Amino acid sequence: MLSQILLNALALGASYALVALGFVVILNATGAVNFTHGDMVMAGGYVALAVSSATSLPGVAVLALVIVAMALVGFVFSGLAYFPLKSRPPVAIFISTIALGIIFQNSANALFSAEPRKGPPLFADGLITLGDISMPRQALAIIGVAALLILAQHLLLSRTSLGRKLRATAQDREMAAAIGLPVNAMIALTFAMGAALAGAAGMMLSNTFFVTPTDGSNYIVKAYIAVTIGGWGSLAGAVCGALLIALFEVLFPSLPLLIPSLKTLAPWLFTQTASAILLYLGLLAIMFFRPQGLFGETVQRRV
Amino acid sequence: MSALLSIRSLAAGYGAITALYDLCLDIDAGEAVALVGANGAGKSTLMKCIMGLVSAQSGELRFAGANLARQRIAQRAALGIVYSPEGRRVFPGLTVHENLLVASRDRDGGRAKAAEIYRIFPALEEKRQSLGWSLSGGQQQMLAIGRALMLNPRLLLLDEPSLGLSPVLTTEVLNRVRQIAATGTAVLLAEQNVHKALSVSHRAYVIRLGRIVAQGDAQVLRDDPTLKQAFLGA
Amino acid sequence: MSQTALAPTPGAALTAGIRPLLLLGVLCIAVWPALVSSAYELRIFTLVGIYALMALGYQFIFGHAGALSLTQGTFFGVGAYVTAILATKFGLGAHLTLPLAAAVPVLLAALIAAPVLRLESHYFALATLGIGQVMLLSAIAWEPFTGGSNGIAGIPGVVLFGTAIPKGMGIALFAWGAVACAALLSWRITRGLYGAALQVARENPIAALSLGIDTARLRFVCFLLSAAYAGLAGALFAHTIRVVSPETLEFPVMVATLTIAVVGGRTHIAGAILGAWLIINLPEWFRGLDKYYLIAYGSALLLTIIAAPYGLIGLLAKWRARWFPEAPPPPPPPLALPLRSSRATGDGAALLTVAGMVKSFGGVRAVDQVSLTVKLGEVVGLIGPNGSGKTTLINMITGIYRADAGRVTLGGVDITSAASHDIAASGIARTFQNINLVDEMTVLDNVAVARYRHAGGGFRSSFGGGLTDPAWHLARGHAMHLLAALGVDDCAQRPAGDLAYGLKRRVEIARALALEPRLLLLDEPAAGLNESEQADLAQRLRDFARAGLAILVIEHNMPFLMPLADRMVCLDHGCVIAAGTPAAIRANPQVIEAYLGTPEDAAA
Repeated sequence: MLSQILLNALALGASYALVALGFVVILNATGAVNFTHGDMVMAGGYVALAVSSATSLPGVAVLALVIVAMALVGFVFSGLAYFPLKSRPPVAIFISTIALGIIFQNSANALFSAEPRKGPPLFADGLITLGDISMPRQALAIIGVAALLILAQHLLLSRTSLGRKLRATAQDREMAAAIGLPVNAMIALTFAMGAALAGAAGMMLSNTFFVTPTDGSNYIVKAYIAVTIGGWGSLAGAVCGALLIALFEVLFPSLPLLIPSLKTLAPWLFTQTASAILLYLGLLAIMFFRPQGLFGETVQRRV
Repeated sequence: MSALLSIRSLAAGYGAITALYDLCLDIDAGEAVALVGANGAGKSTLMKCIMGLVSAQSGELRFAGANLARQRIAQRAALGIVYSPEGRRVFPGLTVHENLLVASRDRDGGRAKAAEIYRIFPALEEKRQSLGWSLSGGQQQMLAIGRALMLNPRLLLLDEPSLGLSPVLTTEVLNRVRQIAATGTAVLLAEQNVHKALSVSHRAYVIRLGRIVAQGDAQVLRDDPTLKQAFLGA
Repeated sequence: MSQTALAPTPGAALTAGIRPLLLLGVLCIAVWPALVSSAYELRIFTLVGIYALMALGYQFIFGHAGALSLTQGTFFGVGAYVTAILATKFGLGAHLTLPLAAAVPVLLAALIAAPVLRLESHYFALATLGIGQVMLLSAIAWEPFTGGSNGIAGIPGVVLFGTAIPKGMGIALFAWGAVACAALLSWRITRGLYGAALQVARENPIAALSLGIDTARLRFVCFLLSAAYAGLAGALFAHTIRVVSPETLEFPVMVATLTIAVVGGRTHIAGAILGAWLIINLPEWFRGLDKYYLIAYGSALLLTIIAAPYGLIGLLAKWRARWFPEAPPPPPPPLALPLRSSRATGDGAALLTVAGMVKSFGGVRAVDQVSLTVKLGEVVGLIGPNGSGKTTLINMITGIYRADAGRVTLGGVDITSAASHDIAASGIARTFQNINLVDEMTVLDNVAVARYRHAGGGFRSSFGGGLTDPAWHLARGHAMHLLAALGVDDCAQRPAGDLAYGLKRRVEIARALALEPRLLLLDEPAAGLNESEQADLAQRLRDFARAGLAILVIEHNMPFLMPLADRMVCLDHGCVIAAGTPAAIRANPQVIEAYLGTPEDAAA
């Protein structure tokens, strides 16, 4: 029972981790909050849906296409929401991303209708049985694929020349320009990367949790909570934060299953709704008491 | 032999304010030239003008024979003029080694040049894998200079490297200036720490309220009374 | 729109700026109800009014305070639910439901303001989003109270003290009556000194603090006002539509409000109304777009934020100024202002005492046991090489940094841990290295706003007077006097951003003097001035000191400072290395060493 819950939490956390990672990567590079990030997750789900119903490609191939498509979306997005407003105060970019989020949401609504739709699995639906534990294939697949994507991103950033340039641009844009790095290209690439990660997460989440046009605001707040917990600007912190959120979301409502006496104590507390409310209240508490995040910032920014 | 950098009657400033008046200056390849003066005298302005960050109002700026006024900032960098700004600004989340490599345009990714930099600044080699923000002020300054050198500059503009550094560290950093000049790179060093700057340079210019008030051999200038006047008034 | 004093003739007042267009707009709104033919159109008209009201409220927090709040829709929904519950479950009339519907969101706002308002922009925005989500989820979950997902139906219309206002035309006129009152209130609050203070707090918070303006408090008041307006709008909505469901708490309401404010103009009252009219009618006009109309919203928002950041009204005002420029109104006559504060202490005693100040940043001591004093009538120069701690020290004295150790007293009162704006109000005025004027405001207004604290500065005082705010009128008169004293009165009506550096510097000093300070702190005042300007400035400072002001000047420019200062203090690496007369300082070997380095350095 517990292992089942933990597995589900891990799968959810892996997806959230991809979302949070994409969010923080864009945040670091531009200093602006991308409000549309949650909608990009949603878009990934719909792209996966569209591709899998139009073709008979296996789930992993669909994922590859989703990643490529969303990367392109990210590129275009940066041209609409970021570059025209580069020299304005960051709140302008916040608003432009809200605007694009509206466009995303309602395009999805127009194209796919508002009903929840189920996205394709990565490999196959169904369960794998090991001994007396049965685990959903999709959950295992998500964990595996997400881990691979996170690793790939980590390697790209830490081992390659391109990754160095991306990080330098994110840390000090002016200085990067001063040593001749193509800053605009780096930023556009970062948007593409962030969108691709969001899209991948979206596909994976759409199979278990279905996808609706209004999912976006839920994911952006989750990403934000993850980043606040982990420390604003820290990639590893974002991943940790995401895992913690997933753990809470899955574990908390399931507590009465593990500790039966809780069932009678306060049945209204251990519901999805109540745990969502608690999560947001937790966010506010963290912002008030420890705004630098639970783990603080691992990279000191220049004052 | 014509100078690498040649400035004649330069006037420059910010909008309506003139910060430099009728300035003349020469630097040859392989020379270390100090530019000393009080804060606000115009040292930074001159450097920014050479870089293209501040526009010249009148006068002439020539580098390797080319008229700099026609070149935009990116082009001036391509010509080989590299600016190491006040306050260092190393990339905080990159290691020392990464800070060096990220600046390189060389075919081998910069590894050969980085090895050269470590020879000039052995203290950096010790800290190869340390992140930028964890370095001390002196180490950051050395890294900033090293990073600038990765671009194989013909003229290195060092803006106040001693800022925020203790006297011992200032000595350590500035002593390298001669070594750098010896490799063929011309160095223009703007400094508030006058004696130290003069001891590591071949020649120097003293700037006061936007004008050159004294110039010549660095050792000779050290004993010139105009120097004290330039900082503390008559 | 700029704050202008009452123009000499009514004719000029009517044609100033874009007022002719606005009057036309008001006329249209007044006439429209008589022209509508269907109940449906009347309902749209009412909805435009309701959203205009909400947008007017939003302008306080988003436009005037400059904080991107995402709870406006939530306050609206809360107001709607409060009305619904009180009217259906308790049968209360509108004379009770309307004020309560405004009050409950205000209480909610006050509650969440504490943790949330002091956050920086994107933190604040996303925190407010989180709160919105909590309220939405609660409304859906708390079924017995809120009717759950179905909401509450059968809400009666507006019943005031037993008299029911007829639906259709009645409620439409009632709603627009509310809009008119709200617009009047908004205008009163923002037209004068308070409005100017809001502008400075928004454009340049550091400058605002140095002028004694409590920026946190201003933001708080704006947040509460926005909640009140939104709650009232929600109540009207409930009485008009007669059904309230969780939809009123959902994000599209917030999006519509944000779009209205951005597209219409975030600080223009007319912008809220024009924006509401456009955004509410968009789905009607583009009925063919069907479910794509929200995409039109999004596109409108994107286009406007890129091309017209001040909204359509802002654009109109800009075009008017560009294509039909008008002469600026004449400045008000000067009103004399004493240069010395009436709270002066006797001469001879030290006014400012700084003792043992210490400040470290990440292990490095920027200021190390620094002590100094400044007397009234004295000019003290603070010198030292770059990085010696001068600006850090000044920032500690003015409350921008908290000292690690040490004490600062002003006229005997300990101000070490006082808030920045309170320190400014107690008699220390400062200027900045990079001049911190508000470029978009006129020179006169930049100086006048410094009278905020002296005018009793506050929300309540903005209600006084008639067409003009008397406190603002007084403040501008005083400002003229000071501008004349600094010789820049002929620039009074020009935007501060247009001025040459030297003139800006003088305006900044005039602004500092408007605080009626006892101590003037100047950070590199001679920077960027030519020789004659420097001599002029030095003379003026000498005159101020002779009139009794205490002056502390940070400078690198020795030819400027040495003849001016009575005493000098030299810092190096955070410590005081010398103090005395200028002549003594110039000859002091340690000072020379600090600037030039030692002969030993040369030998190494």
